[in-house]
Amino acid sequence: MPEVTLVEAVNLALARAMQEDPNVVVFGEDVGVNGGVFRATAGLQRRFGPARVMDMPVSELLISGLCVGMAAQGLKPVGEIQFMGFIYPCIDQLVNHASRLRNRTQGRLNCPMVLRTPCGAGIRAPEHHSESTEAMLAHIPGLRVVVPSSPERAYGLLLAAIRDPDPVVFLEPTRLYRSAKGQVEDNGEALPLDVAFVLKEGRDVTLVSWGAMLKDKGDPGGRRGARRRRHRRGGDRPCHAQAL
Amino acid sequence: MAMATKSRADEIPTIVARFEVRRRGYLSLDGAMLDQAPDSIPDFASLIALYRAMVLTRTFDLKAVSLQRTGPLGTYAVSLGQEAVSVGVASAMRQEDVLLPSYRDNGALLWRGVKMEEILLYWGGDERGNHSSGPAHDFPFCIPVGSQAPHAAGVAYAFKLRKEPRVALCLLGDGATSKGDAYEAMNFAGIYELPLVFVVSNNQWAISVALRLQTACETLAQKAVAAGFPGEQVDGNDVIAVHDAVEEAIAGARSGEGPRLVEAVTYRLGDHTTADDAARYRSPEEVQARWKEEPIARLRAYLVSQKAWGKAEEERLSAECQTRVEAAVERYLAIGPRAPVTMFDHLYAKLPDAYTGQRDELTGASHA
Repeated sequence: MPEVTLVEAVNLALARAMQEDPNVVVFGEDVGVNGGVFRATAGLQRRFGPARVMDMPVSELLISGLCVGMAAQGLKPVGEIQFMGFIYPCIDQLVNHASRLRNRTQGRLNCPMVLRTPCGAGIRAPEHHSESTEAMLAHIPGLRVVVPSSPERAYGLLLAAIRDPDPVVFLEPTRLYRSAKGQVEDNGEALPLDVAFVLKEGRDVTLVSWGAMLKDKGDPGGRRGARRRRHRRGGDRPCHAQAL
Repeated sequence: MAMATKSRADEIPTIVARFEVRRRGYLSLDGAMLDQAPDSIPDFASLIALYRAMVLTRTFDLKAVSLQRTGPLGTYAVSLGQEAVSVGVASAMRQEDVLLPSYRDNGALLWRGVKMEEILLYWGGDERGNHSSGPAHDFPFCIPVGSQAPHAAGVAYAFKLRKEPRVALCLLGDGATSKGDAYEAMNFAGIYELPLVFVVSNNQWAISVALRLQTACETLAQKAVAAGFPGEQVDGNDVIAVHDAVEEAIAGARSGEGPRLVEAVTYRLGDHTTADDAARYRSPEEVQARWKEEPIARLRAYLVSQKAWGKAEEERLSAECQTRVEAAVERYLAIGPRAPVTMFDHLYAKLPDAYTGQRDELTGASHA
């Protein structure tokens, strides 16, 4: 199995999803010719064409709103917001439409969309490029917020998010984009949403974390002798209370 | 200094773009046909169908207001005076096209097959009204102004990607043209030449804010020019003009010519909603003057002048509309309230565990 970085795992999952389902379309600012400012979409436009991998005008609100319209028509849109600091124009679409289209039409229309965005600090990026405001999004009923913390889980959770019949905001920790490496088999297997991953069983302490913070904590078993049961919350919201 | 040898215009053009906005209208204020009726209205029967739909829409609208005043309905957005836009637009669409309506477009929903009791149910605060009898792919009323415009672009993009000869029809108000949503969607539709028709129902007022405080543009149609596609203005109180312009725009969009915008100039004769009091910001004289332009009397005058309609037909239609509306109200009132627990039914396709606890708490079921 090849070792890949987290951003490469994202790329693999996008390519896999596009290959297996012609309804998957990918779009965002600089995602086409340039392959995304972090190269998450590198090579996709060449492989799948500009109709399915679109360079967007600088219109974040539109990116999120397009997702809603496409999803209601049966496409599987994967929009990219270039940095989490630019996701705020999408809040109206996420709160008023994406998260409640299913509910406000009582199931007549639904919204299988994914809005991806790099999140978090740690790459010496300027203001508005280092945001960690997932808590805000996590309080929107009808939405799922997913934060992977390893290449394996980035691959499996992104596939799950794209296949899910409801809207997902997929937050990719920029700090891990290239620093996290792992063995990823590009086999199209998704990981489950809505569950916390138990990384290590222990007896005395429960540590709960997500995203790039997992890496900072290091090996959960080895410090000060405490036996900790450690969760990695793949699906940030809704919270998996049973695992805790 | 005498050094100019070539004219400036040869080197640097002084005008790099021009645009014009055309206006379409057929009926005069007193119901005379100013021009030959367009081909899109082939006979009196098709015109009478539009007339009947407008009368039904108005009958429904007046009843909905009285239901709100007497209690059984919540806040309701009044469509009085704008029937020609709703009906003219919907009658130009095909079943497989997708309607993305604003909250005042009752006439369009009724034409598309949504039942009156479903519209009442929605304004009664019950989302079951949006699980309506209209085409399953149509969008429900959009309440946050203009925010359906990006959805329309997404819908139209799906049609284009799948090479389906279908069109998205986005209904906006004059206020919506001030929002980035509308402009971002128009801009994108222009770039990708989407099969998308925007109809701006310019009723002169965004609650209390008059059009002159909404824009410095002479027309709203010209906003399309900035997005790179044609915009046209029509008399929005002339259902023939609305139907004809929208049918032409839809045909163009369907055949791959890209998006169009139609600005239908009309007037909101009623309050913004039942929670509004328009007397606070506009004079009764202004409203009175606008009653002379309203779409129903105008079309009736034309039909009567052509001997295609008469007193007996009018009385029959009036009675029929009253009966249909009353029956719909009866059906609406007979619908029981939703159980609170149903709020979880369509939150997700599969309710995550985190919510099943909350749901059980509501029903009194014990949970671990």
